[in-house]
Amino acid sequence: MEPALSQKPVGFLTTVESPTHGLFGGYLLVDSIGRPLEFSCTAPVRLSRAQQVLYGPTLHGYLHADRIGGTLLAEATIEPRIVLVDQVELAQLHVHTPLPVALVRSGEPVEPQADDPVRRRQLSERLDELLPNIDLAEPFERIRAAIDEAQRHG
Amino acid sequence: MTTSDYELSFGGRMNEISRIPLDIARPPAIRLTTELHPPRAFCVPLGVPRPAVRRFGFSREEPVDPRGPARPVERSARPRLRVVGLADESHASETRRTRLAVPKDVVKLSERFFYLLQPDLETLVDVGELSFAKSPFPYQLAGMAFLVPRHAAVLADEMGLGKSMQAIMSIRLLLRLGEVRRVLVVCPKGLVSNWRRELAQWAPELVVAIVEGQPGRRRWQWSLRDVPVTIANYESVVRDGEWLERSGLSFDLVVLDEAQRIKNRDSLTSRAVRAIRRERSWALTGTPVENGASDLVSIFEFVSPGLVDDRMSPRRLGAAVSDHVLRRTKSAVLEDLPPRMNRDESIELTAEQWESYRLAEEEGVLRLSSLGEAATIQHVFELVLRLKQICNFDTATGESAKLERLRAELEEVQASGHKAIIFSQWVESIDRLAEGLAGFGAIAYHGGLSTTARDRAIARFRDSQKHSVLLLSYGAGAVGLNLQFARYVFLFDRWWNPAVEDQAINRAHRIGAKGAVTVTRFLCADTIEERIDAILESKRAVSDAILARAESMPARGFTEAELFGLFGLPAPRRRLAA
Repeated sequence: MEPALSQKPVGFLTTVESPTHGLFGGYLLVDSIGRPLEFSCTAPVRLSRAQQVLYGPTLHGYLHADRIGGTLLAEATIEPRIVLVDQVELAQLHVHTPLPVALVRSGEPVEPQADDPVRRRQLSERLDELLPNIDLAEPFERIRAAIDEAQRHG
Repeated sequence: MTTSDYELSFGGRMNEISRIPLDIARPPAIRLTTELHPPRAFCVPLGVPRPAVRRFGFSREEPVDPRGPARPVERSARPRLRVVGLADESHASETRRTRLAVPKDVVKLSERFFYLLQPDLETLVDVGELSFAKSPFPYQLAGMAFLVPRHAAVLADEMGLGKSMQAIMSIRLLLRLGEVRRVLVVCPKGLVSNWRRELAQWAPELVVAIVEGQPGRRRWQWSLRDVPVTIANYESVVRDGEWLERSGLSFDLVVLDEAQRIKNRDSLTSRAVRAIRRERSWALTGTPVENGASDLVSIFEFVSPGLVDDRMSPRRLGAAVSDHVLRRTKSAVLEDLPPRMNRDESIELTAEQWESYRLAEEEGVLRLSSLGEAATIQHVFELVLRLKQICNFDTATGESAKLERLRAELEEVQASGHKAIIFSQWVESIDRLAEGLAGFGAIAYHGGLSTTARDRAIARFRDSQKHSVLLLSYGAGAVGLNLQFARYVFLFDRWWNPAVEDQAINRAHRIGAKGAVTVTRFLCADTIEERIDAILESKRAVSDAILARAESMPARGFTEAELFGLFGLPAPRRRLAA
């Protein structure tokens, strides 16, 4: 039997830039009270100068949302009720997944992400139901701490 | 490659001067052939490959029902949680986050992630996963963050900071995480009821078994497998040691309270405790180094066998245990607590006091020497007490250099409108002080008074401006009183154990104190008081070297050799060999 929506996990996805290694991605799935269920992180991605120049302004969205975000979602074994991201570059993640995606930024309301205005409105209306009752900024700190730990441990 | 031919033709015009027919005059055609290389193409791959991903799952066994076997966990019964949402920047900076402190000896990345990715303790409190009978101090949450991920830990907080509460809350969290299912708490017999009370206060949902009574009953209690927490006293562990070993009983976590009880690693108690099969070992003690580094080494024989040994220097020992020992003092963690100013007053005995003192010491030492091997600790104690009493009041004349100094100090205290509490170990000294300090409205408080009289004494001291001095005995006044309105503490004589002195001082120096608390310790120069103080200080130095990052450890207890050494005498050999 399908679990109730409130019992389904919540995904938190972010990236961390390391000056020495490159860009890491981390994806944490937590239960309704914030306890970790699954964590995935990517190997660092380093871009060449040519890629940086020729992709131009499209680079960040492609790299974050498609290459890193899309890969992390594809590798996860648990399906969340919503995926929360905390970077504008990851906002396009909704293009790569049928899951609801929302952008969480400090001091601002949570923004559901969808190109279709109707879909965006529907998500807005369901947001209370989709969001967990925990501090939404806090799990991103855990991901950053874990990526930092992964770098230290090679 | 491509080739292009270019034909250059000249002339074709009549050369009128020479009249040479055009056919002849036409210059030969020149055929030039040249090869042009094509431009080199640079192909730049722009595709970004998908990065490799490592995935870690954190599914654990379903947590044991912390309330015991009778009532199942009702997850849906958890309170509906408030929506926290995002804090703005200013709020975020104020939000304290206490994360589990992953120990260095956890090397597996998946294990490190398991602890690292747990929500901070404040979040667990927010969502109702952890609830406290009283709001915890930040240092208590930090204590939990230290204990929870550790398989080997010594919580060595100063007395009164709530070691047992921190241990209980950590046990509770480990049970909820499914990391432990069966916990044993071993404590001195006199503290079993305290633990039962504290567990009921801080983890009311936990079913607790207490090992006590006849052997058959004890074995039944040991065998209760579905009970999350079992409490046993050290004596029961020793008595049932063989049976425990044979039965193969094991625990996920064993917590030793007052772990200095195993400072002698060859004792039956130490052996019995070390023989208990266990996954995690925690020790709670306010005094991990009482007499020397070997005390801590012995505790680690239980906590993490083989990690340290007696050959290590204090500094090396300190480095080896640093990730396993957490030590905090009140002054370091209670931010709201006003400072405590300590000063030692060296006092010269009056001529009459000095004469009495000298005679008593000479006679006493002569007697101890004449007793030879028959001399006991009791004989030494009697002499020490007699000398200390003379330091307070001359038994022959009643003179007291300390009282004279005290009067001068109290005049200043009274003039500034403050109150003072004075501690002595003897009721007789308190009575004499009450008489000598009548001008300050001194009130006596000691074990010889009824409970009602004691309550009345405290109320008069607190409420009346006429009474600026309260005289207390260490025995009756060192615990349980809240006298934070007193700004001055005098230790008229010294107790054997600085931890008891600290408890006494903490009557005034506690949360709620409105200003700095001045503590004055009287020490008579060139007397037994100075010698005792020197030994206590040397013990502090050893513990400071081991626990370099901690504040000085209250050392306590004197060995037989130290007691005899106070008078330059060797301890009898038969005693040392025992």
